[in-house]
Amino acid sequence: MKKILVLAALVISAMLLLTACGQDAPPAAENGTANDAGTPAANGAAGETHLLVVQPMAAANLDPSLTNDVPSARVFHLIYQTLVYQDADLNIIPGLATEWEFLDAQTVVFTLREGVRFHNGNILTADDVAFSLNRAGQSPHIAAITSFIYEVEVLNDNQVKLISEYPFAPMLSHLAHQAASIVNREEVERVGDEAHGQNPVGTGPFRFHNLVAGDRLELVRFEDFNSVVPGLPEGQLPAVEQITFRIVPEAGVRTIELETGSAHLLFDAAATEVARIREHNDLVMLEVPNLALNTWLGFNNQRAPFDDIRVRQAIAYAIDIESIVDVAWAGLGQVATGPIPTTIRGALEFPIIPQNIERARELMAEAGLADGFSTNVWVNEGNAMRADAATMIQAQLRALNIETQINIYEWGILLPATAAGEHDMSLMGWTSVTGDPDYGLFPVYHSSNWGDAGNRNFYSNPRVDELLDLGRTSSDDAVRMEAYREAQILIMEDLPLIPLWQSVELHASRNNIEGFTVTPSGVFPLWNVVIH
Amino acid sequence: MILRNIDNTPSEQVKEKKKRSQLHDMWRRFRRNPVGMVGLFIVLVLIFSAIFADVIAPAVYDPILGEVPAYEFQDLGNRNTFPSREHPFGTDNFGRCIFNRVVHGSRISLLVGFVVVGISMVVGVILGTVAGYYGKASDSIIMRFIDIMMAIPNILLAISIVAALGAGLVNLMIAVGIGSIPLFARQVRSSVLSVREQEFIEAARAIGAKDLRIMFLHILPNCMAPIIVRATMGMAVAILSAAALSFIGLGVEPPTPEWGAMLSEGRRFIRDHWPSTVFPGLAIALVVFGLNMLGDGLRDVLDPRLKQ
Amino acid sequence: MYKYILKRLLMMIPIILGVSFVIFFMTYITPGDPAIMTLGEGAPPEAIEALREEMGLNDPFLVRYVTYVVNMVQGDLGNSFMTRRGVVDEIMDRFPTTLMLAFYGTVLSVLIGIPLGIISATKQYSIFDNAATAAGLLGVSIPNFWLGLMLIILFSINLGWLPPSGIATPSAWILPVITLGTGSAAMVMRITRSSMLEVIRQDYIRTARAKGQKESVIIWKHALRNALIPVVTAVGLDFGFLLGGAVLTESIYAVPGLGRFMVDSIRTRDFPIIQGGVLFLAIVFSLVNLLVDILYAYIDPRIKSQYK
Repeated sequence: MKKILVLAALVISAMLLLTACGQDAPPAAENGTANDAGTPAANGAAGETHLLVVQPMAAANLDPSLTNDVPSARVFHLIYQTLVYQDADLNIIPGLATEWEFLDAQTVVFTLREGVRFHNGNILTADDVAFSLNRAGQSPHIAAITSFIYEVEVLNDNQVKLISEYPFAPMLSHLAHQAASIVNREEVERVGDEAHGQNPVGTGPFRFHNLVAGDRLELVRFEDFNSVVPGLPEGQLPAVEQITFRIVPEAGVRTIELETGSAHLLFDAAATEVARIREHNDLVMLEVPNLALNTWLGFNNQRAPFDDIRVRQAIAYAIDIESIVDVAWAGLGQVATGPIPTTIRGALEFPIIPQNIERARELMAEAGLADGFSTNVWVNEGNAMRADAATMIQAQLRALNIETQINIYEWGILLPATAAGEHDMSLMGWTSVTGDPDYGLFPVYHSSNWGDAGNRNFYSNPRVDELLDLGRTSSDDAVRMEAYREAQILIMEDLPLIPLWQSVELHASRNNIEGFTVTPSGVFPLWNVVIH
Repeated sequence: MILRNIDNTPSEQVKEKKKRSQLHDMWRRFRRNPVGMVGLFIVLVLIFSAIFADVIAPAVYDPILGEVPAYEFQDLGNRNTFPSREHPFGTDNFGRCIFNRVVHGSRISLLVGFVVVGISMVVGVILGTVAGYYGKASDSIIMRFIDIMMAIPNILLAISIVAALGAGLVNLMIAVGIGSIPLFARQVRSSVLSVREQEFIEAARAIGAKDLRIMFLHILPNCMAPIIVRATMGMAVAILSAAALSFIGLGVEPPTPEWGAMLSEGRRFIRDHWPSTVFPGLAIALVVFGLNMLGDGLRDVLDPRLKQ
Repeated sequence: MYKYILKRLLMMIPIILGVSFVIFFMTYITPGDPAIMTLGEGAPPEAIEALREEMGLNDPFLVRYVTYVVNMVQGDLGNSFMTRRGVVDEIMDRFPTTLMLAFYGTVLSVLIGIPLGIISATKQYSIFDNAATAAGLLGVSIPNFWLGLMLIILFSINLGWLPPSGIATPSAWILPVITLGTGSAAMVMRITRSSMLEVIRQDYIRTARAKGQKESVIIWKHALRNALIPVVTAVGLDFGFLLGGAVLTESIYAVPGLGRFMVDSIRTRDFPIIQGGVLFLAIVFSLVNLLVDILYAYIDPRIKSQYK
């Protein structure tokens, strides 16, 4: 008996030793800030300068050329800067570049702000800018944003010349995207891309402090910040001194954290949580229309019977779009009214297709399909709202004798399969991250982009192609807008997809937080936040 | 008193009578086991519900949509309601009657249980018998293979298989079935090992009976007791595993009323609408509980060693 | 004794190799393009193709496998497709959390299960026994993901006593440990009970009673010692299972452990993580089994005497 106890004690102490050694020590910890980081006390007693955030997903990587996901972009917005920014109306305003001049449709010269400091003490030079953008232009991860870059040359210490591969009108909008963040050449070359992603160095008002994989990310205020970001008066530092981002995948649990005061901010509230947050006395919802035509019911336009416009129209009449948005998306955001969201410049609003079963049946009969058919709709995994929409669509299509199978797949299967055209219908969407109509229209509706590049509906209309090409290359704004206007009208006539839902940024904060805003592209200028 | 034929062999009549009274005996013993009886009752309710689902929760006729199965019928005016006379378990986010969905879900659970146990039992029994009977090389190879499978955490193995094969009920059953093979194989193998050395096997071999015949006609029937118990427990595990995978989102596609999937869908409304999560979960717990109790009862009855 | 240990360690090698082959094969046949997963929607085809080359996805199976094994024995498990960090680093960042969770869960199961099992056995057929048996069966039947949700509803939402997620404070560990440990506690209780029952019936216990020894001494000194032997084995094995199977608990409570990480990696087709993680878990599981076997050999006097 004694022997068992002795053995057990040995085993247990071995376990305890192991786990004690396995605890994370914050790497490269600087002074005492390491201690109060990561232990959010209840009721906001963590101090008025330590901001606590809960969000559903972790940033994949902290080097801007290695990833293109939204959680990472939100961090980039805080620790890095871009040459230009977009204001609330998506106009271009100065960032690290104070002036710019177009030499021709493909060439721009940027004049940089002087004396900007990096987190590691280095001073920003044209060399860093050229290095960052050339690197970005080569990266496969952010090619959608930066592949237009042909070369960036250093002209002198604070001027660069950017040459694009082709005349590209939305160039500046792309350069405002976090993928075009400026990094410190010396640092990246010293440690390499991947290591830099673990310990990033930028010029932003916050700098990297600590990362506990899968659990939280900590940033601290950059005390030597001397650049300019939108909303922060020059020479001023953010009120917040420390930010902790905690990963909480369960939507309901995130709300609880906010309610109990264990968090000040909540990113990405689920649609089902919004009503509760709105009613809660201590919480405030932040709802801002964003740049996403979040969900459409797309058809594989090259496959029968969806190559027949009458069938597409019939389906549009059969479903009740408003009730779908009401149930699946809890009535948030708005019913989509066109091929690109209304937040984009030049977006047209079309009347919502009403539910009209009789008309739908007429059209199906005309197409010779009064007996209906079997089909499928593909949805990505992990999006409960789209799954709900699919369930409703499936039920509603019964009215036309259409039997729909719902296929839910992870992105890893969905993307290649829809790129290969294996689907009949799909519930997908597109975010025009740059705010420019080119980004919202060209990849999705141009026939050269069939497949992975964005046109998974295999739509082709030569006149639309012409118009989109014109919009992309023309440097005359009026010409561009007119081209896009006509293109949208043609697209809605063809109905290659049925726009369903235009989404809205859904975030929440406690009511003692001031200055919490989100841009239409979904990033947060947390340097404006004050905790009361 | 045993009747015998002229040549002294036991008469057929008697053999049959012995067999019948053996079963009768076991049933009588089982009847006295409260745990087993409750378990049996629950399992019978499950089977009844599965067979008569269409009667208990019949399809609904909608003027526009035609005939809609009970578990699909959406009543958008009556979403997320609480238990009432009309809907004993309330309605879910689409206004579908949760009771109807739970009843139809029993069909899926039963199917999952049978198919998974079928797969793992057949393969496991074959592997275990071959390993136990032939020994040496085949035993080594087969047991190495079993060890490899057991070294991989069960749920990760199942998730990987589903990822490889794709989502859907059939693949779910295959994934869970494959994961359950090792336990069956091991059990059968150890039973076979203990039976193998007995005299009547040697006798059979002496007469010249072929291996296959010995394995399946003589050895296996004597191992049936632990196999049956394991099969019952296996059904419980299968239903739990399938629900777990559906809960993560890797199981069936909507609107299939699988209980784990229902739990997963109801999770979002956990704070405002408890019926969405409580009832499917209760169903899973109850059925698994019943199967486990039945297994316990069977073990007590079939395994004479534990008799007091 | 040491020869036995050495032999077992050597036998682990083919098993681990087997695991690596199985999991490698499975990731190979898994559809879904990790390059697309990493680059996301809207990536140009040339970029995707370039990344596929970089990831080595276009090489033939054997080439990839052999390269992988060669690297593996040198301790290099590759880099995550998603974060580009070393697989070993990613795993070691998260494993201690899972280890602690499994450890506390096992401690809980022992603290609850063994006493209950003993009392249940010594007071067989009493109300306590029946209740405990039922509770035990219930414990292994309740789906632990459902239990987790119910606990959150009760203790975090309604009562507000405990935090619903993460492991930031000691109190945050309570709910996950309870969720994880309940099933194990029930299992430990059942095994303790049946083991005690078996031991109590042994002749030497009857002899001790006949000799007039006090009941409590009999129980504690003689019976328990021997009854606990199979319990220790079961607890050890269960700990091994918990290490790999805490997936659901970690998901519900947002615990940044290895289980949840593995599920996410399977979802994002992060092949190096999947392969490295499963391999790691298999090695740990095999080591735990080995430790349990050594422990068992050490404390079971019957086996120990074989080595004297």
